[in-house]
Formats: sequence, structure tokens, C-alpha cells
Amino acid sequence: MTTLLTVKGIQTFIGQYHILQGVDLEVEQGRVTLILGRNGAGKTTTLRSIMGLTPAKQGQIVFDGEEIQTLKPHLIAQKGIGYVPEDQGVFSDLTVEENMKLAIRKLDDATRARQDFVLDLFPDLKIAWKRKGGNLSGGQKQMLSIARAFVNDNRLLLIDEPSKGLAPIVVEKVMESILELKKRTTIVLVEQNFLMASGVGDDVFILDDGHTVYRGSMADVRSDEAVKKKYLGIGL
Amino acid sequence: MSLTVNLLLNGVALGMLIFLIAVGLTLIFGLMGVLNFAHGAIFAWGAYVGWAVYGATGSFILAILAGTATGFVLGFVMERFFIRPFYGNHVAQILLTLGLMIVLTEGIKIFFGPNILGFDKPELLQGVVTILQDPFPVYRIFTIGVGALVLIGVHYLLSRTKYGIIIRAGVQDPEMVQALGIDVRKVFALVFAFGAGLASFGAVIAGPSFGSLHPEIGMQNQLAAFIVIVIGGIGNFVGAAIGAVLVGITQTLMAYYLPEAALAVNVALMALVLILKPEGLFGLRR
Repeated sequence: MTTLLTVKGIQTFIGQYHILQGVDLEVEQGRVTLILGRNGAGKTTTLRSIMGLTPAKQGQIVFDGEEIQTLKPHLIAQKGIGYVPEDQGVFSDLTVEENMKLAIRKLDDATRARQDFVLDLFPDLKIAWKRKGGNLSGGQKQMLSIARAFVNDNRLLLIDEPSKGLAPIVVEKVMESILELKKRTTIVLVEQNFLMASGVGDDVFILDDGHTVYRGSMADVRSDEAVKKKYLGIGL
Repeated sequence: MSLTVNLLLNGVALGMLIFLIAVGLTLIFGLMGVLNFAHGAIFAWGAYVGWAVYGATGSFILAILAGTATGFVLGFVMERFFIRPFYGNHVAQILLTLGLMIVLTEGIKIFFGPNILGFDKPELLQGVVTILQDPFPVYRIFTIGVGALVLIGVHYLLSRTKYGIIIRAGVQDPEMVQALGIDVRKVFALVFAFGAGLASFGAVIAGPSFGSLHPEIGMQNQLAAFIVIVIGGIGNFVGAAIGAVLVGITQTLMAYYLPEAALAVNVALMALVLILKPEGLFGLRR
């Protein structure tokens, strides 16, 4: 197995708040790495630090053998990292088509093929192609955001809580699509919904109070009631 | 041609001149949200440089190019070194751009002197044509045509090109645009420069129509530009064009029938629109 992304002891501040106080991750190629943890544990900030949106003050982020922690977000994205933020980041004033056009960095045959693939995965987007982002349902926005991140030749997708605010049936559809995408790229998934996430995850990192407090395989976590209770608040 | 038609045509021509100033401000203020009170001063610089190049070379086309370039460069420098740290901070923007306006206006006095300078129309665009058996100046028709072309061009740029998509997206969520791999700061600098370039382009077109230049020429036109943007609906180009034509026609009619009220009428029109439709004629409710 090759490691695609390594995060070593990053420390990130937002204003005066010391949000990340030592987060470590190791993301293996071709797998889904889950970041779990309670509200406020630092999951979203971890993704934002990898993207360079809230840069880490200390520590190291290595993507595909290259240190990226000091790069600007647009350069990090160009290295091949796609980002699906918690609020989906869909541009409400742009149509679905324009949202996709905006995302596409280089329109070649491979990109066209990826776009076709992702539109087959989310046929809703094809139907809503000329509709403005602001008029989409929550599920459609989530699909658009994922499609936008996948359409480029991205070797890593960072997906922040895709289940948030969606109806269970839509969440299921989104999780199925993540399993599909996993065959073609590497995914880091932040989730609160343990049940949903456990169906797609391979490796697990648990954050608590800005620290990495646990790492293991999905099977480990599933069978470790103490960890689930302590960090994820899942009682029996 | 009846008097009414004549007044209306003159109003449209004046409106198009105001639109040429307002269109850049619509980009900078309406879309990027920067309250730029130095926009008029950039307009004035465009007019003066255009005047100087026209005087030196005799080529109106060169004058337009040089004037436009002046605004573009001024806008680029202004964004890069002054505006950039203050996106989203309106109070700082007002203080900063008012200061820049004073510096730029005084700069005109240093380089070109404080006196009024005559700006002649190019030979090709002098004279009159006959519309409905009455004479009408060619230059005003030229102004209307240029205004219409700019409107179509900017509309095309924003709605049909990738740059337009980036601009509209960047205004809504600059962070997400960056996360998609686009250097949003570079785009903003270019849009700001482009908006300033449009102002100075409009200035070279407007110069011969006014017939003369003075250092404060930007100030009075900037006020009109802000008014038409508010009337049309902030950020809406077609709205700005219609607002500009409305203001142009009202001002022309007033200047003929009730000259004492000509200056107040723009503000009165804006107040009326704001009372009836606070978001402007074509603005979105926010």
C-alpha cells in the first residue's frame, strides 16, 4: 500500500482559538479514510488545513511526496485534491452546468469521460443541468459538489459530512456513490453519522479536542465498544 | 423631428455617457462590493490622457487606447496596493478611495493644470445627420452605439465566458473558487482593473461630447453613476443601462422645461425608485 497523504502533528489556529493541537493522519491510496469525532473535535478544520483554507501554523502535510502546508489553496487544489465542504459550496447564482464548467481545470477527453461517469452516477444533475444552484434540493447540491470535486483528475477527495441535513434515503444514495467513486480515487470522509460512514470506511482516525486520539481499521472500531462510547458517544 | 423626439434622443445619448461610467462601477461596486469613490478620478485621468494623446497624434483611436490603458493600469495598481486588504470593509474603503480621489484629482492639476481644456470631436464624427427632417449630431449617435456595444460586450463576458462564471462565483464565495484551483485574487485584480479601464474608456468617448475637461470632471459624473446603479439595481448591468437612460432623459427634459430643477431631479428620481422598490428597478431582493 502506498501512502498518498500524510498529516504530521499539525497545529491550526482560528483567530485566537487553538483548534488543532496535534492532528496526525495517514491516507492510503485507493481507500476511504474516515475522520470521526464529536462536534468541535476539529474534523472540518483538519480538512480546511489540508486545503490551505485555514493554514496550519505548525506541522507537516505531505501529499504524494511533496510538502504542501505552505501553499495557497488554489495551488493545493491544482496538485490534485478535490474539496467538498460541509455547506457544499454550490454557487447559487450559477447553473449546474456553470458550476461544472467553473470546476473543470482542463477540458480533455479524460475529463469528459469523468463528467459522463459522474452524471450517470447522479442522473438528477443531468435533469437539473440548466437550473440555478440556489434552486436545487439539499441532496442535489451535495451531488453537484461531489461531481465538481471528482470531475478533475483529482487523486484525493476531501468530503466533509455529506450526510448533514439530508433525508436518510438521500444519504444512502450519496454513500453508495462514494463506494463507486472509491474504485477510481482516494477519499477522506468526515462524518458524524457513524452508521452510514461505517458502510464505506476502510481506515478510521478519531479526533478529540484537536488531537488524533485513535487510529485503526473500520473493523477494529466496529468491535471496540469502549472507543465508540468514549469518543463517538455511541452507547449500547 | 418634433421637440419631444429630439429631447428624448438627446436624453438617450446623455444616458449612454452616464452608462459608460456606471458600467465599470457596476463591476467594482455592484459585483465586487467595493465602494470606490476614486472611480470618477480614474474617469478623469482617462479623459485627460485621451485628450493629450489625441492632441499629440491626432488619432482618436490611439486616444481611446491610451485613455483605456491608463484606467486599467491605475485600477490594477489601486487594487493591488490599496484595496486588497480591505475587501468587505466599507468604512475603510470609503476613507481610502476618497483619499485616492483627492490625490488623483490633484495629480491632474499638477500634470495638466487646473484650467478648462477644450476637447474637440474627431473630424469623422463631427456634423449632423437628418432624423425625421431635423438635424441631430453624429457624435451623439456614436455615443449611443458605443454604449450599446459595451452593454452587449459586458453582458456576453459575464454570462457566456468562463471568466464571467469565475467573477460571478468569486463574488459569492471566493474561498470555494480557490478550493477549485482558481487564483481568485488574480481574478479580482483583473476585474477591478477592467472596471477602471471601462471608466477611462467611457471618459475618452465622453470628452468630446462634453467639449471640455476640468480636473473635477470625474466627481459629478461619478455621482450620476452611483445614482443609476442604485436605480437599476446594484450589480445588474441591464438595470444600470436602463437607469442611465432614465436619468439621461429626465435630466434633458428638466434642463429644457425647468432648468432650475435639473440638478435635483436625479436624486429625486433615485429617492422615488428607492421608496417604491428599495432593491432598485431590476435588483434582486437581498
